[in-house]
Amino acid sequence: MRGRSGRPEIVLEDMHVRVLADLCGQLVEMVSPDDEAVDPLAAELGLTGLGSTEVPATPDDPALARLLPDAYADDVAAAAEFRRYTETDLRLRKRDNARIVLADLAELVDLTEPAEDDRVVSGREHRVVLDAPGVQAWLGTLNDLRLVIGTRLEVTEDMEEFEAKLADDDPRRWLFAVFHWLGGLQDSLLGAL
Amino acid sequence: MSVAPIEVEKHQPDEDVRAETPWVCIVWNDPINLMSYVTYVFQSYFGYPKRKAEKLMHDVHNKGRAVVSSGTREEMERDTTAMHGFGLWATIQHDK
Repeated sequence: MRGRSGRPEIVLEDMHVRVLADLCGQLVEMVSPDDEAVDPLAAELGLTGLGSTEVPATPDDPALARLLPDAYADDVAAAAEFRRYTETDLRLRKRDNARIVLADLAELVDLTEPAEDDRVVSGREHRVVLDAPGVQAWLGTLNDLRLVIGTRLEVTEDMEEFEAKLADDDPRRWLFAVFHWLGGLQDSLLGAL
Repeated sequence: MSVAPIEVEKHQPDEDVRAETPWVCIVWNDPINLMSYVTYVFQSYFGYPKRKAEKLMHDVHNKGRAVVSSGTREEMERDTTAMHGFGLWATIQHDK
């Protein structure tokens, strides 16, 4: 939605802030490059991996493979070569997006406070007013989260049918709820642009 | 959507620049990305008018894939990386 400032904004309750922050934290961990000692300057210049002789493979985890897809569908060598030069940069971009969202969320709620505290989980509404780079970061992160959750749920075009067949106590019901909620947030943000 | 055939004009090669740069960026359908988001990406990254962006989005959705840009290999690698940054499923192909 669009706020009084005329800029796009996101409205979240305390609990939603916590759920989203938790998911963003997981996303940061998931996409961060394996090599802790990534030289940020080298990454910026696209020079990471140049010294490595290892051929980078498509990630085994289907969700990560969906975030970092092969760029050549029928040329394994070209896909590996492309991945060697671009994957670290792509991972850092996604990580930075998630960190921007996390920082926005941390301004709304003291995320270090335990959620069990009644005063913290108050149902109070918070607003995040976004500038243009913020919109990009939020849209990208909401989408990455949906890709991860959707891949884990093995979402297909017949999603409703699949979901309806789940038992009431199936833990995937909660994930579906989160998946739909993230989609609603993303769609409302798009509608405000 | 199939890749648009590119006419190679041997007599006047300068008339069709694409004939010299036959690489394409393809976006594939997936059941997760929102139609509104895919349209937004085509508009905001490529600068396509809303009508064209929506047509491409529908092609992706209904035909399983769409060629979203064409040019040199380097340009297509740049576009594909950008699509991956947005979370779209994109590949590069030599449009033989």
